[in-house]
Order: sequence, then structure tokens, then C-alpha cells
Amino acid sequence: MLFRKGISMISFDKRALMIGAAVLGMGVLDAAPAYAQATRTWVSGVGDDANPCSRTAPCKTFAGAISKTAAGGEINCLDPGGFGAVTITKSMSIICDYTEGGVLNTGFNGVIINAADTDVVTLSGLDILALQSNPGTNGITFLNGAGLHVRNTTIKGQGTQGISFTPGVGKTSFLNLDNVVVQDSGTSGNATTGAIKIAPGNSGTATVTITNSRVTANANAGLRLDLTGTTGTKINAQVSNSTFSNSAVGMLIKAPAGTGTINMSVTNTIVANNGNNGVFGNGSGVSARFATTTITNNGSSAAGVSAGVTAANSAAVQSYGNNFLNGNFNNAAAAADGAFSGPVAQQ
Amino acid sequence: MTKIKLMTTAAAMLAGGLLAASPACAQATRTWMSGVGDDANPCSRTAPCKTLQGTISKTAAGGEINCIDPGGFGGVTITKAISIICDDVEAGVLVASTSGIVVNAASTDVVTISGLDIFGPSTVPGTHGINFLNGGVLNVRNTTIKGFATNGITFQPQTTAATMNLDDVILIGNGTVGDATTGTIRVTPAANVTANVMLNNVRASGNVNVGLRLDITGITGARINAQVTNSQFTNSGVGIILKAPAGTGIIDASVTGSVFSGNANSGVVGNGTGATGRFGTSTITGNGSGSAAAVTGVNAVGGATLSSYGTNVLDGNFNNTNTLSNGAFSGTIILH
Repeated sequence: MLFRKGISMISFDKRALMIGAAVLGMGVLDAAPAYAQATRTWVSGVGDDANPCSRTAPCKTFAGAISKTAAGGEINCLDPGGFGAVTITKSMSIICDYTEGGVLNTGFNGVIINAADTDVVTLSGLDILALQSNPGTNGITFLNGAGLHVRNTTIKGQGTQGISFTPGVGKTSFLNLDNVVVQDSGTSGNATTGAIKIAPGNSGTATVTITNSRVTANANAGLRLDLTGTTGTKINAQVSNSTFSNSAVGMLIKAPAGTGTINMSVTNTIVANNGNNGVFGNGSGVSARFATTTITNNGSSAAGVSAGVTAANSAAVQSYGNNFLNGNFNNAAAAADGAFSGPVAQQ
Repeated sequence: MTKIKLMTTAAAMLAGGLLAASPACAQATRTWMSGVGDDANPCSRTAPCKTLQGTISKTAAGGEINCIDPGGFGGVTITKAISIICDDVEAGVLVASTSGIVVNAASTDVVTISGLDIFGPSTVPGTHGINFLNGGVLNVRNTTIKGFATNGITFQPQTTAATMNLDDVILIGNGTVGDATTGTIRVTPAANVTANVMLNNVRASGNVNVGLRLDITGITGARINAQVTNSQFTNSGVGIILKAPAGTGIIDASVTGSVFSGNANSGVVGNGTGATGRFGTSTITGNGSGSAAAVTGVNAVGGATLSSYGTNVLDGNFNNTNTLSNGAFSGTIILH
């Protein structure tokens, strides 16, 4: 890790020197251009967006830094701060793992990714915050790009989704979530809002990996994979070592007949204390397989007949036979574990 | 965008100042503390405050307090939705003879604490590290709690259903010798109140009495839903106890991937007809001592149900005659 960072610092220094020389040379011949873009830029809680975003003259906001960061480059945080919302339209990393990297987004989106089809975006170490009394729109909304990595990030208080992943018509994109917390998001009374929503456009494909993430106390669904109203659409999703708790539905997997397919694997995960359902599969396009996963204590006075696992409308919600499915209860406080739609053999 | 908004606000305040007396400092959504701050400041990034108690009054409901640099920030009473996030620096809460953090908020309020080092000195221990009385949700992450005489964490919702999520929390050196009701983590909702509790990656070690005490003794209509995963309860008197005597209420607990070991009296105890615990892929070993009773591994008494999914490791527990005393689960339960 240190070695890798050292190497990249050296190359940055060299490049900055060369750019500096080039700018100096040009200045003699012509009016100097606006700041050249650096590959590594810096923000600080006491920076200034009039600065070049260098290590010694950092910027103040992500939006201010991004225009001074080369495509494929990286923004780092020098010290703690609230760095504001940002729209990303190119390959880019924002890495603030060692200090508070705040984004306050009351009333609007926190991070918008709307990049080219080949662009990969990485976010790590952010703290995306809005208020339940003044919620954000989406914490992160992905509209276009090759893919998005989100790591070590907390998202809370969003009115629409904590993370909305909606690659467009015919596009193929990936989403990797690793050590992500989503809480207090979604809006009561608007069932399509929630914590994490994956919904590609017609003939689109979303490939999603979620690991080591905690999704808790959101309105509506913790994880919503939803192809409703699309055709030829596909979601491949792997969920492991994560928890989905205290929302209305832990996981909603919805692919009505004629829409497309959702191919999902859930391992070593806990789905608990959700008010209506733990796991709800809906539609013949759903094929979800569960292993070593705990689905317990879902249900409430508002819950339906089956609060643990429900497979509706020919959804396949299958078990490898080693899940902990107990202690779910319905609105009569009677046991309501439901059942997997069938077994699938371990190899 | 933020900058424009701030400028507009500043202009508005300036204009307001001409017309009327300016109000006290408005509350900010994100506020800042520093080890060298001053509570007379507005708790901004450039003029941070010094203590949690000083900062919280300048933080809007639902807002967040961050730490600029390391410090001891003192105890605090929380009465509104708030986050205290200090994951990247030492954020100390040192209290003696009192509680570190008291949560007594409205039933819809979410309180999140991450990255604190809550500490009562062994010479003059604190009361509760965290004492939750009322609120909607309490999230505690990346936090260490040590040296509290009553409990490291006491979760006792008094009026409405509440949720507690513990994630990457360490508890050591809590509880008081000679007072069996003290210990490490205690969950005790009031009558007719439900407590939902999830523990993930919690390490409770070297505490007095019980590591995790789910207890509704003497309380009617109470319910505890609990999930414990990837956690360790070691070197206390009892690893985990689920206690719901007949006529009180329901405790429904799921325990997976966890370790109960080195506890002097028992690894796992269930007590009462209202208590149901289901265990999978958990290790219960090395519990017992010269003062231990006949059964030191798993002990279901008073009609409690302690079920096994058949995937647990239950061996190597011993009693006061140094003989093997694993005890047994009260029954098995099938995997699905």
C-alpha cells in the first residue's frame, strides 16, 4: 500500500513539473491558458476553489476540484471538511479514506455519475448526509458509465434512494459496494423510494456486487432490484456478508413476466427486523439463490401472512439448505417464516 | 452551489441585521469539534468547538458533528436526531461517576455514533457508557467502551419500540463485582415495548457478570428481537443470557458465527419460557472455572428454548470439579 502510494506520488510530481514547464513555455508565446488539469488533486476543509488544487494550494469543494482534475485522475482530501455535492462526467476517483470526507446534500443529489460508456468511477471514504427533515434526493445516482465502485462510505437521510443505479437503455454497467452503510433513506408513502435501487433501462444489464455493507432503518426496501416496465433487461447480483435490517422489506427482487431476468446470489447475510418482509421475490424473471443467510424477526402488526421469505408470481427464491429461516412473525404475532420456493444443491 | 447558497444566506443575514437584532448563532447541519477548540465558537470548520455538549446545541436536529483533530470531548446528553462521526481521529469521552452518552430523544429520532473512545477510569468508573432511554434508532459503530460500573451499553427504551445496531464495537472492563445486574450490554425494554437489537462484529471481553444480557424479568408485554453475528463474548462471568420468565414477554434471538469462551460460569444461559434462542455456526468452548456450576457450556433452565441448527462447536467446557460439562441445547432445529 505505502509502496504503491509512493510510486504514484513520484509520477505525479514528475508530471506536474513537466506541465509547469509547458505552461511557462507557452506563456512566452501566448496568453497562458487556464490551469492545466493535474492527475492528483487535493481538497481541504480550509481550501479555496480559486487555487490549483495542489497539495500546497488545495481547493475547497469536489465540484471545484473536479474541473482541475484530469480524466482518470484522483481527488484526495488533505484534512477533514464538507466538500459539497458533485457531478462526475469522466473517469475519476475520489478517495478520502483517512479523514472526514463530507457531502451535505439537502434537497438535491449528493454525487451524480453521468459519464461516458467506458468511464469507471470510484468513491471511497465519503460521508454523504442529508436530514430526514430536509432530505437529499439520491445520495449517489448513477446514470451512465462503465461502472461504479463505492467503498467505506456512509449515506443517510435521502428522500429518493441512498444509492440509485439506473444505467440507461441498452447499456451494461457494474456497481460494486464494499463497506457501505445506507440508513434513514426513502420516503414513507412513496413505495418506490428506499435505500438501494437497481433498475437498468430496456435491454440494459446491471452487474452488482454488494459485500460487507449495512443497510438499516430505511423506509420501504433495503435493496430493490426492479425490472418493472422494462423489456430484455438483466440484473446479475451477488450479495455477501451484509445486513439488511429495520426497513419495511429487506430485499425486493422484482422481474414480472416479460420484463427480463434477475440472477441473484445471497450468501452469509442477515435480513432481520424488517416490518413487512425479509425477502420478497416477485415475478417469473426472478432466480435468487440463498446460502448461509439468516432471515429472522421480520414482521410486525402490519405484516402479511408470510413475513420471512415470499416467492410470488412464479419467482424462484431458492435455498442451498443451510439458511437460518426462523422467528419471523405476522400481524397476528404467529410464526410466519414463509418458505423458499425450492432447494438448489450445493456442489 | 453550496458556496452560492452560503453567500445568499450571508447576504440575507446581513440584511436581517439592519432590520432587527440578529439572532443567536443559527444551528448548522454539520458542525466541528477540535481538541483545541472553544465552545464559544460557532463550531464551524474554521472556528470549532471543544466539547460534544457545547457542539450539540449548535447542531441542527438530524445534523452531524465531526472531529477535526484528536481530543477528549466529554460526555453528552442527546435529545434529538444526531450523528457523531469521528472515525478518523481519537475522539475521547472520559467520564467518572456519570454516564458517557445518554440518549433521551423522540421516538422517531435516529442517533448514530461512530468512532468514539468512551472511557471511565478504573479508579472512579463511569455509570453507563451509553444509556439509551428513548428514541427510534441507535447506531453505534467503530467504538470502544471501557470502565463503566453499571453497563457498557444499557438499551432500555421506555415508551416506544426502538432499534439498536452495534457494528464493530469493543467492550472491556465493564460491570461491578458483587452486583449481578451490572455488566456489559444490557437490553431491557419497558412493559409493552419492543427492542430490536442487531450485534455485528462486537467483541466483549473481560467484563464482570454478563457479556450480553437480554432480560425482561418482571416486565410484562415486552419483546426483544435480537440477532448476534460474527461476535465474541469472552472472559466474563456469563457470555450471553436470555431471560424471560413465564408471564413477562418474548425474547427471540438468533446467534450465528459467534464465539462464547473463557467465561467463568457459563457460555450461554436461557432462562424462562419466554426465551427462544437459535444458534448456528457458533463456538461455545472453554467456559468454566473452579467456581462454576454443573453445566457451563449451554444451559437452558426455567423452560427456555435454546435450539441448535446442528452446526455449532460445543466442546471443552468444564465445571468446578474440572470435569467436562458442555450441557446441551434444549433441541435441534432444521436448516432451511
